[in-house]
Amino acid sequence: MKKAFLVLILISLLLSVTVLAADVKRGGTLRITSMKQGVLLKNFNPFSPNSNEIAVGGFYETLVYFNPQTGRAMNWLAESFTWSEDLLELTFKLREGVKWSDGEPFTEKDVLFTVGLGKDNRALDVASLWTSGVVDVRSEKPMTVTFTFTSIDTTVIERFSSVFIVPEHIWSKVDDPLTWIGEEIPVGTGPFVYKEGSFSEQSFLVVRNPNYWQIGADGKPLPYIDEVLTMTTTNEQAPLRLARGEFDWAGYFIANIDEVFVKADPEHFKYWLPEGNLVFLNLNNLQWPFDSYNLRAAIASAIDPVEITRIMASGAVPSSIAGIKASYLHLAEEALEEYGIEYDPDYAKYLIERDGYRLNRNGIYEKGGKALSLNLYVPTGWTDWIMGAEEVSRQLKEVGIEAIVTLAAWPSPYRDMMYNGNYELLFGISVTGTSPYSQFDNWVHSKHWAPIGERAGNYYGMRYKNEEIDILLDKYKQLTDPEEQDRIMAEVLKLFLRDLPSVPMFFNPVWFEYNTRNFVGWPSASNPYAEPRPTGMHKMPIMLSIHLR
Amino acid sequence: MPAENPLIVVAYFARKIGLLLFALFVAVTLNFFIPRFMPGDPAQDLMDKMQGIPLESLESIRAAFGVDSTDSMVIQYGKYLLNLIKGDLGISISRFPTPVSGVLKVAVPWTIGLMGTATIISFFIGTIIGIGVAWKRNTRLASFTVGMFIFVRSFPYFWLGLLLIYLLAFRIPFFPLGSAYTPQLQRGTWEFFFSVLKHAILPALTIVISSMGAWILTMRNNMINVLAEDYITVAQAKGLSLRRIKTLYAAKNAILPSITGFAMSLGFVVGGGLLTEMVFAYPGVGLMLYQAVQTKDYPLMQAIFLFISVAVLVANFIADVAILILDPRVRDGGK
Repeated sequence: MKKAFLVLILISLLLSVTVLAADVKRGGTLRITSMKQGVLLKNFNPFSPNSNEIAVGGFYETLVYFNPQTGRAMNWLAESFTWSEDLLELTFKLREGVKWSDGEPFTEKDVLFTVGLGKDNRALDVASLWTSGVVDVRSEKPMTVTFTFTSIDTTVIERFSSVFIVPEHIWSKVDDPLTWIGEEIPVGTGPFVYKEGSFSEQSFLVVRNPNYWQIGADGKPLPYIDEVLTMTTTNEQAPLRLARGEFDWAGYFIANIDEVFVKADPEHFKYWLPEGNLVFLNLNNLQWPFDSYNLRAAIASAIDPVEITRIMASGAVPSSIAGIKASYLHLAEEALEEYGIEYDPDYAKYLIERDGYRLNRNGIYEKGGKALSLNLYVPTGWTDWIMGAEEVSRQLKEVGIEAIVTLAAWPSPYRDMMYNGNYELLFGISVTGTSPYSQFDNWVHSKHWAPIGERAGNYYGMRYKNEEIDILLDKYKQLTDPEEQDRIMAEVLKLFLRDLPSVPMFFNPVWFEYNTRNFVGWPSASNPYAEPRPTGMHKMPIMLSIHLR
Repeated sequence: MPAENPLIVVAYFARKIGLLLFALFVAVTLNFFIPRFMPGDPAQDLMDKMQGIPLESLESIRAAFGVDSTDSMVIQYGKYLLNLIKGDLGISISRFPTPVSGVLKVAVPWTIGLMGTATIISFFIGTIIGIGVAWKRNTRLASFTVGMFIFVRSFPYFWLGLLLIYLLAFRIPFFPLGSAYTPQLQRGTWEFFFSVLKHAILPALTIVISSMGAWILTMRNNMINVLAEDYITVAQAKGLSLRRIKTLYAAKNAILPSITGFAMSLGFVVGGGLLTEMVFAYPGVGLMLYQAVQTKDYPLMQAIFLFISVAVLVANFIADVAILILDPRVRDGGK
């Protein structure tokens, strides 16, 4: 069944590629917004978290690209990667014939040099390779690089998706790699090179690298587009400029997006808001009343995420009860069949009554003199969340639970409440990361757990602990076959839904607006070939696919 | 002119300079401590913002920012003072590794150009209108002008800005929506110059319209007070020309309080028009300040606040000097 699904995906991908091949037209300047609002400053440093987005991926590339939409690693500068028998050694075979933009060949020496920088200076170890188990990196024969680890963790492969390789022959002469911002023209392996003299506080230009190693459907080097013009704007300006068609690609929040943006040119102005981080109703499992499954399940059947997100009107994407992104829902099929909970207020009341609660005079459920009247915390000033919380409160009221919307400042005391477990009910956030595994490893694994009053390892948790899940997640790290890993995740999801420690509500969207007046070939909900973020490697599959219409 | 007492002038200067130095010290000290008492961790915030980077990167980001300092508050304060004297304002966190001075170098010229020009225009036009409406204070036109500007003055800057953008840039696309000039124009060309001018008109208009009311009212009220003075009646009785009375007798004396206010607002120019710059995506100091606050970029925030404090204090000092020159009463000890 799952194989069939994969084959289907592959066929559809192949089809979309052949369709592209038929009508690919080269040229054009892609106009994209920068994530830096208002003022741009020159910074093309691949080790800096503040570098201009095009530098990573556009100039400097990684060995692999880990696609958060599929949870799979795609080979990039590496032709392949293999694990040793004992899973303690990872060997990358590098692609032959790749050249730096100054004509020098790309070799294993560049990889060793880049990784070595991080060994000596922690700030240059952006992917934290050296603090998470790498003990040695060496090259046994030309064009291969082997990493040795202290413990088994095959998910480490996704870290390599943020190790941007720099040329040794240039960077060995840079005094302080951390503060280099692009004083000389950056030399990379990527599809773009910086256009000298184009940088100003408002925009800059990169042009195609004519000798890029990836080949397009027409048999000539990628990219299809000639230039990328990065422009800065602000939250206030972005909607107007988008409606005016001044950008081909923007990553800006727009309230009421259909009315404000799409309506200006419904034929060409489009958006796709894939799921980012998950927002969930965090129920404290160590305390009355949510130490009872029935009460937790009652909350789950009492709230309707579709209505909540409709009222918020901020682009939030409703979540299923499984709490994972839509592109992974096939993993939760069995779990949902067995333990899924649908919106059903009557069922919610039934569950509460089964726990011995009875309605009091005010229409609130009560047991032993204790009414189900709770504070529902939400961060001060997060207006869309507050609107969502008001709606949650209204929906809970329908089933006899009083949730009093209470504001608390972010980060303090809000985040501290989450760290220390001082709440019954609050709007929590779970970082979805690169795959359902990384989401659950951060969210549910009990290595972050702490009793109430003690500081937990992170602030995503809900005071829930399940050893079976821990064992499964730890086992996931010791597998190399993606299909076996998928089976483990399906088990985790089953256990999660069986216990239902908290109630997923919606995902914060990844903002992605695009304009098909000039360019086509964009990813969309029906063709999610990449995650449309301007950061990291994510944008690269898109910049290499789009072309003039 | 009455005899000047040099001792009084020297004492006046000494007092003003002492006050300036003391205020500078307080500003510098507050500037250090206030941001440090605010909650939050800039590295964590950056992680929250950039979803999808490995959580383990937190440590390397902290190390890169230098926010993992183990020094005590006192030692940090000492280092801060020392660096300040050396002119080192630190490294901007949100724009790492660019130093704060590098960030300001980009933003300050735009702000001074836009805000400075708009403030000067607003002051001159406002003052002239103020003189006019005070002189003809019993006419209908004067009452209407004053009433209208009291009304306009109560508009928030950003609201007026958005209104102008919507009407004159979006509905009727005559002016650009925002930013300082058309992207990728060659600097130093006439095309660039006219582009800058065209982009500056709407934001400048926003500032002029909403700040002019204050100058009109101040000048008008001062004028009316001065016009009731005996020496104006004397001047009229002597048969001096009305123009001479209006400018040299009344306006020259009435403008003194306005000068102090003008100096202050020139000082505040450095801080940028936060809301105006945000609405127009104008690459100035106000926009930088807004982003610095959002990203908890303490070094940048501190530098901008320090700039504002110093500019206001110095502007105030210059206003004091100007008053010393313009107002003889100060020179002879307040008689």
